[in-house]
Amino acid sequence: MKSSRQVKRIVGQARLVADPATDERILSDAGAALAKTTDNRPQASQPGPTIWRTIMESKATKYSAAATILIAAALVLSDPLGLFGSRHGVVLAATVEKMKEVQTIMHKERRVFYEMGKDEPMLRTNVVKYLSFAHGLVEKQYDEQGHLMARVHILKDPPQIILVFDDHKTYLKLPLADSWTRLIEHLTPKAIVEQFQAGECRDLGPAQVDGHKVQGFETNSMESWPIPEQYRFIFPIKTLKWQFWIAEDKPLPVAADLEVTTGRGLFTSFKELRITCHDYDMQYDPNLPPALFDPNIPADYQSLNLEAGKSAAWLGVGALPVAGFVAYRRRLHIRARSR
Amino acid sequence: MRDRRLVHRLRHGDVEALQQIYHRYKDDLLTVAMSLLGDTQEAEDCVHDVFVHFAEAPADLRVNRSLRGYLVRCVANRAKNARKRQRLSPGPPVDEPQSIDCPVRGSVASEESQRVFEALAQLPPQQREVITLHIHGQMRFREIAEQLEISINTVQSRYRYGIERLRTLL
Repeated sequence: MKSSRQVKRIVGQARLVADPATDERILSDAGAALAKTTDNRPQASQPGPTIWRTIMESKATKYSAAATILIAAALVLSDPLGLFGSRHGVVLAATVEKMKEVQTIMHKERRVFYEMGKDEPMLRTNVVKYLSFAHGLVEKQYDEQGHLMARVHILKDPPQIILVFDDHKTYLKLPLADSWTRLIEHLTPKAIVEQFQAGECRDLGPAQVDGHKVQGFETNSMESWPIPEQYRFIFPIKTLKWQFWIAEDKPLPVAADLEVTTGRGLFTSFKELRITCHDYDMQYDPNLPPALFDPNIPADYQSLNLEAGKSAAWLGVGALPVAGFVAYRRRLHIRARSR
Repeated sequence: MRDRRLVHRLRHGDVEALQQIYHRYKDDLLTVAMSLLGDTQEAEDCVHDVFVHFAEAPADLRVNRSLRGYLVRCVANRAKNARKRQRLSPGPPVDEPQSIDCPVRGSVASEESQRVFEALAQLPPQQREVITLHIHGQMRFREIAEQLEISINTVQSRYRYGIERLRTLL
């Protein structure tokens, strides 16, 4: 008679192996069930409404997809902990609590666009972002000389997204309908945890940033990139690296770095790009006057009325590449004029 | 790719993620189903139903610990329901030893594996269930106790008696 250990081993070695026909039957039925679920009940593919689904659910709001990157940036800055869940100890747990109290954030960002394989950047921009949970989000993009190139206003009241291209004296208003409330819900730490929980992150350990003792975290998770796959061809992200630096004494983020490499797409001018963003000078609960969120569009600015297809293409990729694209065109224009 | 990421992609309707999950766990799940049900066709149907349900309700997925464990539990529950249905319907009681028809159906088991499945089919279903969940499902006794809502002592004794019986059968 065999020993219990031998019996366990023999039982453990028993296998039933599926043949290809079984695979096909199960996979085809399960695939059909998945397709049916996501087609007929889009909200069922997520535990709750996601940012993207909220934006895409109506014709009007889907054109405002440009906001997704900004919102994602706001999410990240308002709670970088969502990226990491509660796996990384005291610093992050404390930061989650601290971030819940924050009402306004202001920070600067340096964005540099490189053509792949070239060391010299093709474009440098400076950005200032203002986030108020009461009013919305404003991003102002400047060129190297400090000229205002573009502004993005994501406003709560009335709910809308306004892209203002000061360089071109044009603007675009996109209603957010009643979705803003739900978007706001996604600005909570809980939603961010859900948004990014599938991602993986790495503890970079202690470091020194801008005079602060910080702890760094890094993620390469593409899940944290808010543009859905069907639109990624416009701005095809190949790799992504986000790093966050959290001051141990505050404990709040004091800096963030984002590096993106892209394939060739409409908004990369069909070039492969490397884009770096460095967020710094982060201020929490600064006094942000309501007037700051007023787009205050001059009377001589022309409203853009893009047809649907173009709108989707223009806006489906986010404010970051829009700014890059506009700036790139502007440089070409200036160069042509100077000849 | 990690399970959690696959589940995340599945929630977004990614068929490729579903395929990856299936190919990663299909044989384990079929083996568990086969051990519990003792019939290749029923085992395939059980795994089929689990995956279809899995794909139908990605929003309901709450995979907190391990995806494999989650799927094994789904298979075990479905197998239990199938046994209940069999018990209610006319035909031979499930508790009796059943014939194994592995070579007839598409999915295949080696000769040695068939012998094991036949031996398992001769065990009382409670013992078979505990042994299957522990050995093939890689679940701990505590997890099995939680799953079956019985005490851990009961789980251990069922396991011990089941193994003793298998020693005489194998």
